[in-house]
Amino acid sequence: MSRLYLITGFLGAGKTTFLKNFIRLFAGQKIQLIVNEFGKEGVDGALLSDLGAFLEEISGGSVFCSCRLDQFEKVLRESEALSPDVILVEASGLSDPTGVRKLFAQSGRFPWIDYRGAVCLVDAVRFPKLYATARTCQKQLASSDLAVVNKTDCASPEQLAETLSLIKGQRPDLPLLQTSFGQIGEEILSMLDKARENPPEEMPLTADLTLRKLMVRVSPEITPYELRKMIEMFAEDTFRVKGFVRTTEGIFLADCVGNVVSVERWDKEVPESHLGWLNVLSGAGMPVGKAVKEAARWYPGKILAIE
Amino acid sequence: MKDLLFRTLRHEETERAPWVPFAGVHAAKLKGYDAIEMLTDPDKAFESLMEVNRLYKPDGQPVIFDLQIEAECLGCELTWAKDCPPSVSKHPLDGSDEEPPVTPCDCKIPTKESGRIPYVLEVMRRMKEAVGETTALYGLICGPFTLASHLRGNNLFTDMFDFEEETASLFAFCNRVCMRMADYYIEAGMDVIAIVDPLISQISTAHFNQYMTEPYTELFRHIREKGVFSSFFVCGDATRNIEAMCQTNPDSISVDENVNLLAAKEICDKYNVVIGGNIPLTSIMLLGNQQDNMKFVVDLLDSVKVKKNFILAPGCDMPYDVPVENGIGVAQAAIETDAVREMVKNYQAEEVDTSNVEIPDYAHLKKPLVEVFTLDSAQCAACSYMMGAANQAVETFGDAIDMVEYKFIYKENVARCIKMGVPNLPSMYINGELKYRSIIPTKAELEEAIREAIEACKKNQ
Repeated sequence: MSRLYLITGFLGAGKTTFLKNFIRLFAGQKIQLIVNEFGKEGVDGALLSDLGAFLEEISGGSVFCSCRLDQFEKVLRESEALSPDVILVEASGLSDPTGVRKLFAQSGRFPWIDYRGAVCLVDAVRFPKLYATARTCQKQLASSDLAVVNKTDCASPEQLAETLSLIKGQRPDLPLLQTSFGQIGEEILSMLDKARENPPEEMPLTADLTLRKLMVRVSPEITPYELRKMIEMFAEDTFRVKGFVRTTEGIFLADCVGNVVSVERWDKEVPESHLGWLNVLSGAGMPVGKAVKEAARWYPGKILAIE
Repeated sequence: MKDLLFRTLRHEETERAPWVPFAGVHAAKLKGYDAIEMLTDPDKAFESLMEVNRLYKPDGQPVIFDLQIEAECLGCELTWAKDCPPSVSKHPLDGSDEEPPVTPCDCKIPTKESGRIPYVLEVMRRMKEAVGETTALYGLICGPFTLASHLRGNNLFTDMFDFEEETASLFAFCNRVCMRMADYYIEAGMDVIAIVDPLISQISTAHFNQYMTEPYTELFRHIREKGVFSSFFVCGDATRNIEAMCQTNPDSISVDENVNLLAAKEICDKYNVVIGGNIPLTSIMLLGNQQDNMKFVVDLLDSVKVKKNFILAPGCDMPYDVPVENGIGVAQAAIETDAVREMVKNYQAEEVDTSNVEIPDYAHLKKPLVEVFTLDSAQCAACSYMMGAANQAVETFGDAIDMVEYKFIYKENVARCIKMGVPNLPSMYINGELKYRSIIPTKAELEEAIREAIEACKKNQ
């Protein structure tokens, strides 16, 4: 098995610098590095050869095209023969990482890959502005297991506080590391493992002002595909969506962390009282109510109630 | 046919949905060229696009799919690749994010002589002359948002926050570039001007309305006044922006697999905007087999109940390496949906009984046996070329060879395909050996292969 880590973060967040430090944590192992953008500063060839890592660059004018995962898949498929111990993937800063993330959510697609989580690099100074303009930032956070708030040395206390509060507002469940120059220690690996072991199943909801909870009643007239696409319309504003829904094709379990939407057939018994409700958890900073209403407009008659 | 697409763009109900393969660099693959050759050499581009036209029988087809044409004219440095369009590696307006973006002078707007525009115009004129009577031609232009990001780089996103006025000015400049490009392409005979703006899916509806509504409305009005149709291409999950896009009044929009096409069509129908899409590029077109492609298309077409305001197309620019048989399968399903629906059904039938299929004793044939497996040579263009090659060989060799066609539309032939392990259609076997798979052999190649087979059979006589 090859352990795979995904590194996301907007352009300029310091992904390449972070990667240089992160890659050292795997010294002595066979490392494959997959990058798909032209960073201002590439990873140093000497460092790679010192560590025995090899680099695959995914070129392409369509790096902003989230639908074009073909090149990435091609490199990944070829990785099976190389059988590296570790694969590090640096996602393009402008691309939506959801697609890449979804690839690993499909069991059996890459059986030789052990997906170990996504790290999102956040620029402590520029994040509040980027978060307001680039939806990618929200998608990157939504599909991550850990955030590294970088460049804290350059940020004023107000900028840092705003950045942290935006992250918490969207993903109160997300573990955070604060650093400068992308410096991190080995603890990041155990933090990632822990985050993936314990999805935010039942977060304490009482008296916690950082959390918001909605219950969405879904019509049994919905198809599984519509259920998935409907949840996708608001998933990036949430950190957890879960529920058993009766659909036109039987009972399905919707079980989503961040914007990685999973809708799978459920063959076991479910008490009638539990059926048809989606539990939606979001950070207090997210306009999730508005997004669910928009989804209801797209799927008329399929959302029966929002409580 | 072109008229079918025009009627759809005029919002009329049609007998079937028009089919537009977005074959950009994939066209080059059909002729064995790489993306760089395709995107720089007018002869190779023309030859490749003609092959798309011949094999995929499109109702409409894009001419050059490269979103970096305008950016290159405006000073962006490109990095080239052999299996996809180039990417921008240096942005001329990049700089400090503390400073606002500078709007270039209008004197920088590309002319018909700038960069690769003469190459594009030449290919457009040649395509117009060659197939313009029957195929609607799409002129593709990089949209103002993506063009601005090519010029400015990643600071564009903080600019939108810090320097609203200057950013709007840069977008307005990019929109003037789009309008000028539209003029050139319309003059070169393009029937549909498609504005391709993949990054639109990355901004919020509020920012779309703030920065894009006005330029796009103006752009589509401009195109309409010139008497041609318009289209608005996005990729990625643009669901939340679909309605705002419709409000800019394009004739059509095109979306990829991230968008629920049927739900989006409901929204588009409210605005009487045609929607196109959304065959998945990777999971189906690139990685699926021919049956997967035919099935997907039949299901998609069947799900659109009223044949109005819908264009069948891939989600975006087709990957270079899409197997040609997949393109052929999609085309066949698009054009001969009823026949393909039956084929898919036959293939999907739980157990195909192959016990009645007699496989010839290939090792002891007295003369070569040429077997052509087709979807249906009477309907599928590629299959008719494969059969044409076989028929030509029969003319040349006469009684010295045997030749037979197996059409996939008959159940017994499906069983034979399964028993023989035919990977895709059309395919040609000689003496039981798969010789040509989707790629049609030249007369000389086939004759040589048959001569070899004749020699091999002599020992059995």
